[in-house]
Amino acid sequence: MTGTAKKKKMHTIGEKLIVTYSIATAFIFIVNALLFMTINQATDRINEVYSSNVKINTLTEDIDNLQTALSDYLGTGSSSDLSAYYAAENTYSDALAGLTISGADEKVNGMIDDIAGLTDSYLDVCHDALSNARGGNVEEYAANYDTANEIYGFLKSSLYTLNGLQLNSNSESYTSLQHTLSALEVFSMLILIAVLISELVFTLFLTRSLTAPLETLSREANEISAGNFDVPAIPVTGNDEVSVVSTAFNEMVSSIRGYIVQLKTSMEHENELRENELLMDAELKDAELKYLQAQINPHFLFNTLNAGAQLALLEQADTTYRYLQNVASFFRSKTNREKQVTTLADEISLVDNYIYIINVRFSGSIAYEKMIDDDLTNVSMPSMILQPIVENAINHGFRDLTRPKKVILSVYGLGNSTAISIRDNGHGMTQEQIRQILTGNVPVRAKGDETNGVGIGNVVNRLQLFYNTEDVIDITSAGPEEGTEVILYIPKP
Amino acid sequence: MIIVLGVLIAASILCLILFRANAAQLLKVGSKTSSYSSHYVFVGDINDEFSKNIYEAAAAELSSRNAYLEYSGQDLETSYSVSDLMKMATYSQADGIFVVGDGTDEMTDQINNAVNNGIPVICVGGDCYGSLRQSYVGVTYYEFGQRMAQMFLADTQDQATREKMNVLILTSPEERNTNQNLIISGIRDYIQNNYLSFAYSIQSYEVGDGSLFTDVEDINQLFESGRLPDILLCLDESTTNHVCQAVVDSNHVGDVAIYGSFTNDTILNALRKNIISGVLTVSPEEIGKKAADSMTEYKDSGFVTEYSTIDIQSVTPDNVDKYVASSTDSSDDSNAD
Repeated sequence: MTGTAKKKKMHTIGEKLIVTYSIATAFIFIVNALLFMTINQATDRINEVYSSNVKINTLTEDIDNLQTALSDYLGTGSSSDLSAYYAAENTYSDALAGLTISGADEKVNGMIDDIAGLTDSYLDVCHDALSNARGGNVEEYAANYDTANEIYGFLKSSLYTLNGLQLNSNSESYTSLQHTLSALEVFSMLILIAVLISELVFTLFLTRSLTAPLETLSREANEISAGNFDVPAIPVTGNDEVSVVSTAFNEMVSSIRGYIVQLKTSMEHENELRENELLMDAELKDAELKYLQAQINPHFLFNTLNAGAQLALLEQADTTYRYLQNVASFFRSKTNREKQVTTLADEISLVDNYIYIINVRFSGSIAYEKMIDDDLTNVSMPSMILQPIVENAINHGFRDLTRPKKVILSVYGLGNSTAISIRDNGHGMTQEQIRQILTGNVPVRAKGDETNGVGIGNVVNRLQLFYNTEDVIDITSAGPEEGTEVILYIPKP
Repeated sequence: MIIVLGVLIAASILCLILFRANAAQLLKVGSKTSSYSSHYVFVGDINDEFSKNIYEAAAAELSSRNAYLEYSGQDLETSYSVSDLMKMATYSQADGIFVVGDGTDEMTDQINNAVNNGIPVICVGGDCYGSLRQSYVGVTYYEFGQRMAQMFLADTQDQATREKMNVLILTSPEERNTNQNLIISGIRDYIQNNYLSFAYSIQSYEVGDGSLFTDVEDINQLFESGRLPDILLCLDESTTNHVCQAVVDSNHVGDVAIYGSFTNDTILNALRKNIISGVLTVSPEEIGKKAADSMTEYKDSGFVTEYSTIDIQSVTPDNVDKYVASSTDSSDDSNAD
C-alpha cells in the first residue's frame, strides 16, 4: 500500500499554495484590469462627447477668419492679405477635414455634407473673386464677393445649426454616459464583491482542506498519548505531505497495536510458563513428599521402631528403648498430615523429642532449658512451628560452634498474646539475614542440608497466613556470636 | 476543492463576459452610426403638411435604397424662403433636388441654375413648367380644375339651371403662377364644355398679400361681410383650412357650398361634419414614392419621363371615412416598405 502510494506523483502543500494563490492573484488582476479598461473606456467616451462641438466652434471661427481675409484682400489687394487669405483657407480646410463626428446620424451627416458642399462652392467663388480681383474686373469680383457672402451666410447658418444639434445630442449622450458610468461603477463594485467572496470561499476551502487532516491527526495523537489506542484510522485524501504524515501515523498506530498484542501475548505466555513452573515445583515437592512418604510407610516405621524398642527393652537397653520411643514419637508427629493445627503443648513435646534425638546423636552437647507457663500451653497454633525453629537454630546457630551450646524455650503471657521464645547462644544473625527471613526471601538451602524439610521461611509464611498478620514473629540477634532469639506472638483465644 | 475552484472561476468569467457585453452595449449610447451613398435635398414650405407628407414618402423610399433625403431648412436656426433654400441646395452640391414648384420665374431660374450645375431637379406636387427640371410628379392643374368643376356641378347643376349660382375662387398671391390659372381655366372650360356657362358666374378673389396671416384676415372678413357666394372654391390646402375654420366661426355653415383642395385633419373633420361639401386631393405618399423612383431612374440611366401623373381623388362627406381608412393602409404599407 505504501509502495503504491509513493508511485503517485505527490503535490506538495507548497505547490498547492503557490498554484492556488497564483491563480487567485492572476484572476483578481485580470478582473481589475477589465474593470479598469471598461471604466477608462467610459471616461474616454465622455471626454469625446463635446469634442465635436469644439471642432465646430473652431470651424466657425476659421470661416469667419476666411471671410474676413477675403474681404481684406478684395479691399486692399496686397500680397500680405492674399497670403493671409490662403493661410486662412488652409486652416479652414484642415479644420473641415477634421470634422468627423463618430456616431453621427443621417441628419448630422447630411448637414456635414451640406457644409462640405457649401465650402466647395464658397471656395470656388472665392477663387473666382481673387482671380477677377487680380485681373481688375471690379464688377465681376464684386458679384463674386456677393455670392461668396451669400454662401458664407449659408455656411454660418449651417454650422450654427450643426453646433446646436450636436450640443443637444452630446448633452443626451453625456447624460447617458454619466448614468452608464454610474452603472458601471456599481456593477464594478458588485463584480469586485463577488470576486472577493469567491476568493474568500476558495481560501476557506483551501485552508479547511489543509487544516482538517492536521486537526484529525492532532486529535488522534492526543488520544494515543492518553493511552487510547482504539482510534479509527485517519482518512487519507489528497497526495501531499499531510497525507504522507497521516499514512505514516496510521501505520505507526497499527504497529503499536500489534506490539501491544504481541507483548500481551508474550506476558501471558510467560505468566503461564511461570505458573506452570510453580505448579511443577509444587507437584515436584508433592511428588517428593509422596515419594518420601511412600518410602517411609508410617505404620511400617512405627512398627519397626516399636519392634526395635521392644527388642531394646528385652535386652534391657533402657537408653536404646527410650531413644527409639522418642524417634517413633517424633516421626509420628511429623507424618500426621491431618493435624494442621495443634496445641502449644504438643509443639513443646515435639521440641523435647527433637532435642533428645539430637543430643543422643551429638552426645548431649546441647543444653536445653524450658521456662513454660503451663496455663498457656493449651493455645492452638499451626503444627510444625517450634521444631523447625529449634532445628534452624541448631543447624545454623550451632554449626561449628566450639563453646557450649544452649537452647532456651520460654512460654509467657504478653498482653493479649502468648509469647513463645526460642533463644540460642549460637553464631547469631545479621540484620540482613533477619530481614530476608521475615520478608520470605529465605535463600534456597543447599542440596544435602540435613533438615526436616520445613524451612524457616515456610514457618514464617504459615504463621502469617494462620494469624493473618505479619507481626506474629520477631527475630532478634545482638550481633555475631551473640546468639539469636525467635519470639512468636500467638494471640490468646 | 479543484471542482469548487473551477466552478467559481467559470462563474466569475461568465459574469465578466456578461459585464463586458453590457458595458459595450451601454457605451454605444450616442454612438450609432449611419452612412448613405447619395444625399438628396427636398425644397418646400416646411410648414406645409402636404409637402411634408411628400417628403416623408420620398425619404422612406430613398432610405430603402441607401440614400438620404434632407428637408432643406428644417433644422436651420435662420428662416429662409423657398428660393433661398433652393439656392442653398444648389450651393451644397446635393446629388439631386426635389422641389415643390410654384411656377414662378424666380423658382424657374433657381431650377435652371441647379441643373446647369449638374444637379438633377424633380418637381413634386407643383410644377415649374418651362424650367430645365428633369421630371414633374404631381397632378395636371388643368385637369384638377376640371375635376373640381365636375365635383361641384354634380351637386349644384340642377339648382344652377333654375337660378344662376355665383362661384368664387379664392387665390393666393404667392402663387402668381400658371398653376392657379390652369386650375381656373380647367374649371371654366369644363363648365363651358357642358354648356352651363349660363348657370354659373365665376370670379376669383385674392386673399392675403403674401405676409403672414393676411390671408386668414381676408377670409374672415369675407365671411363676416355676409356677402357670400353660392359656391366657394379653395385651390390649396392652406386656404381650405382657413375657410373651414372661418365658416364655423362666422356661423355660416350651410350658407355656402365649399369645395377645397387637399386634406388634413381639420379638413377631414369638416367633411365629416358637412361643413364643406368636398375636396379634391392627391396622395402625397404616391407623389413621394414616384418622385423617388424618377430620381433613381434618372441617376441610373440618365433618362426619366418628363411627367408622372398622380390620380386625383374626390373626398366627400359620404366617403371620407373610407378615404381615411385607405390612406392609413397605404401609409402602413409605405412604412413597411
